[in-house]
Amino acid sequence: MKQRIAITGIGLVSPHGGDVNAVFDALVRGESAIRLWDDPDISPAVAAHVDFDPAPWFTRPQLSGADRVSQFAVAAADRALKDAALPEIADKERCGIYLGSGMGGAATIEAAYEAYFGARRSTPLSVVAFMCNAAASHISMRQQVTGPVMTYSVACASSAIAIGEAARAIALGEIDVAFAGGTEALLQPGVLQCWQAMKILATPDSNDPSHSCKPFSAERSGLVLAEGAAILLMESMEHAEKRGARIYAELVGYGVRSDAYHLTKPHVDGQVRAINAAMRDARLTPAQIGYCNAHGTATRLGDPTEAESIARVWGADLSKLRVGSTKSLHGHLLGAAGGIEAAITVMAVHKRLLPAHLGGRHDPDCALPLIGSQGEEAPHLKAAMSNSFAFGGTNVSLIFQRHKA
Amino acid sequence: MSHYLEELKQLISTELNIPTSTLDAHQSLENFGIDSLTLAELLFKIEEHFSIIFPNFQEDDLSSLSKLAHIIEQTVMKKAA
Repeated sequence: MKQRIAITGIGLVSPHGGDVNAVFDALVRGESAIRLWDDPDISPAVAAHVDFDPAPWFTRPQLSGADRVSQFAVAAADRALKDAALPEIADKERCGIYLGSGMGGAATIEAAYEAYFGARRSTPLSVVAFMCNAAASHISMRQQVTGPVMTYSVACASSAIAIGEAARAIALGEIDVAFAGGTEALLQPGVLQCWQAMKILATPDSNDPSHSCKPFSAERSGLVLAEGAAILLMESMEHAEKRGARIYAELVGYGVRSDAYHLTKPHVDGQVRAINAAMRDARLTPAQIGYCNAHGTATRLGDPTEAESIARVWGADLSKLRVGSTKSLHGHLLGAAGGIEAAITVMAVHKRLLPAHLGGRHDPDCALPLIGSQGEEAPHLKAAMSNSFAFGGTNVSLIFQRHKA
Repeated sequence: MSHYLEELKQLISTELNIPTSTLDAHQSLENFGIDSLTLAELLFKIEEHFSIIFPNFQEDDLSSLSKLAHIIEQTVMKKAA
């Protein structure tokens, strides 16, 4: 029998902080964590940094060889476990780690190149600090997880895929418990310059830099880079109910489909395929899904493409849907974006409360029923979707449903 | 006791979170319970700290902190010469 999937814990290291309820409340109030990037050596930019002290999780010797991206992941996993009130994982071989990361240890990579082009020597721990799977490995050692420990690197869809694959492993009965989500920490000057070269980053808003990311707006100028980690503690329904766990929501749908089209240009067909696949998996119709946490990066091409995809799937039911992109508040966490947006979608379903969407003057090419700059109550919300569409053309939709709706 | 040994102890204490009082000049670097990768990283940090590059180590060069301090001193002197 296919196991149902319960979300019982959320662990965050985010631009809005680490307490899931406080983060969600800030998002509902429409508070942005986007700030000016204070570096005279680079072109004006905005980003959403995390104020993070690794001391509660790492001693000084442990910090050697543990990049910021792994530090985030260890902290988020610990917070997820505590949030789930799971004192100990009974069968550690039936527990897995499914993590997404776009770049791995960016600070280590940048330091290694700096050392190479300077003194021509690199520290012995460079490789193990920057490899993409280091973060998942650090969590496994901390939590003594001996089941599958996996890392997915699928650009902006990395952690949505990680969550979906964890759900499949639980559904198939391979494991009972999973840490699933993503981590990203690439706010380094060299990396930023590579992103700036693509001409897809937002221009800082001269009136209010925190309002620089304007998804689906006619005034949008690009995406805002961010960092952080978000990990869901997922359990089979049987495992969660047996221990009397609080269940935030159920993961009922996962769809992953590709464009086979272009490295950066999105395509409506691929996105529609992913959304429809998730709907079929969830056995839900568009009318039953009340909220969509859109991918909505605020790029010129990305937003109208997603708007068209959503409009095509929902059709006449579009007016029943509420849409928002929380990237307008926390920026684009890239490999961790699917993780934090899944966490926010889960909280929205759990609290029947929708986070705000900072936009601006509406773009008629993005005709969506958008949430405003203040969150809204959604007393009848039953299910919600989170979209993550990646460079490379891989599209993912996740659907969460209220437990005992 | 040479100031190199004192400085070395201080550095190891900071990097490995070991109180200097428990560091013995006759102790081997390999006896701190650290793996080979961590040892490589520690030696790298010692090199950085003293702005030197170690010569290739002989069999028992790491067998005591005082021996390593002596090698550091010699390397620093050679570099200054």
